[in-house]
Amino acid sequence: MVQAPAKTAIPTDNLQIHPHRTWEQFKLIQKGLERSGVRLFFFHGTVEILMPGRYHEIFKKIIASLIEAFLLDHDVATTPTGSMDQEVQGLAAGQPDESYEIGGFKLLVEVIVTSGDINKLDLYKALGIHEVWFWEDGLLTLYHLMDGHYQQVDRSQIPALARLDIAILRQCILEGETNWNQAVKTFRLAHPVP
Amino acid sequence: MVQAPPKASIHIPDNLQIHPARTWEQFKLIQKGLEDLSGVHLFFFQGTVEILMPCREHELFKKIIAILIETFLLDRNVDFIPTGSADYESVGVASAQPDESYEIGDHKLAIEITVTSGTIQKLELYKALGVHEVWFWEDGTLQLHHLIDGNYQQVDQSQIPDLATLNVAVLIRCILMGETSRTQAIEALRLAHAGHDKSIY
Repeated sequence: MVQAPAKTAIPTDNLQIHPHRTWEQFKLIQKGLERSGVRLFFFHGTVEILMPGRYHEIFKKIIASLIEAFLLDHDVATTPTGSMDQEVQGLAAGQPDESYEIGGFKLLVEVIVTSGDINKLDLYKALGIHEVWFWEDGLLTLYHLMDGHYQQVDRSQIPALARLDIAILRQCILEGETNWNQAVKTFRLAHPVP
Repeated sequence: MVQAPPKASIHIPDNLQIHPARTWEQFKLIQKGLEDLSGVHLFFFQGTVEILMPCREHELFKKIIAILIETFLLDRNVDFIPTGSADYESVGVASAQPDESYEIGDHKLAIEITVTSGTIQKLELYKALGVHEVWFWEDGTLQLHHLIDGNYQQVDQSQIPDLATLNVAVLIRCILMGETSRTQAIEALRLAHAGHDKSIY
């Protein structure tokens, strides 16, 4: 009861949802939790504080490795922006698992282990993100912003990623859970440099 | 994936977040950012911030214990100040929001339901806050700690004079009973204490 438990990596996410918050209250929480490793979201008066677990982080890293293998092998000019704050002052804020700027397009990757109350697509629409990839329950779902709305797409609509095979990517993400090195090799083999 | 699940599930555990390496100033920012949220309890001690969102079971036991203690005190005409989850704070050092708290005479009593343990040593925290007596309810049992010569000692009975005749074994039984029936629990508590002192009976 009064003894601290040993600190081991928690397997699952810990998500707290705090409703009825103002933008100013969100900024106080954000400042209080700066550099703590949590990820913060704000939208429509709801603050979410996410502490990603081991499973979440593993899949985030696997997906990032594969995307980055493709970008590097194919010499795609990219700015890797990681979990950088995406913010529209007074309105919306989010810290994705991974993010990239690829030839004028913003791409976000989110691993969903525990869903919160904030509708992530509405949030990212408010933040003007061109394409969002969700990994959830072994499936990859892609959304591209078209005429101000997200539409689910089978392939990336970012020109530099058009040749990326989503079915193979999914297979390799799953393979990566047990064998990360092999997954990257398999993925590279399926996407030869022209 | 992007839709919020319906908010109906009740058998969820406490949600506790532990944020280490925080300063007192960072804690105060978090506290201000989360102000007026009744379902959130904040703790700060030795650089760790804990944000606790108690679950239903947690709240249920808190209320049962509160009802029984208050019944005991009110029956005996003891005037007490129910301070609930009010902040206990020692600026720059420690801050806590117990599940329940009382000022009984000159004594401060804090009650904590432990469903999920954090990393903050609660007894050290309450010592820093100068709370005279702390009761922990965990896994169906009650542990009492009283501050004696600057250290907590586990005690079998409350050392707060107005609670000295409260039979802790009976209280535990009534708390467990209270999970199914509050009225029966109060009745059993009253019956067990009826002959023991000059009460209203």
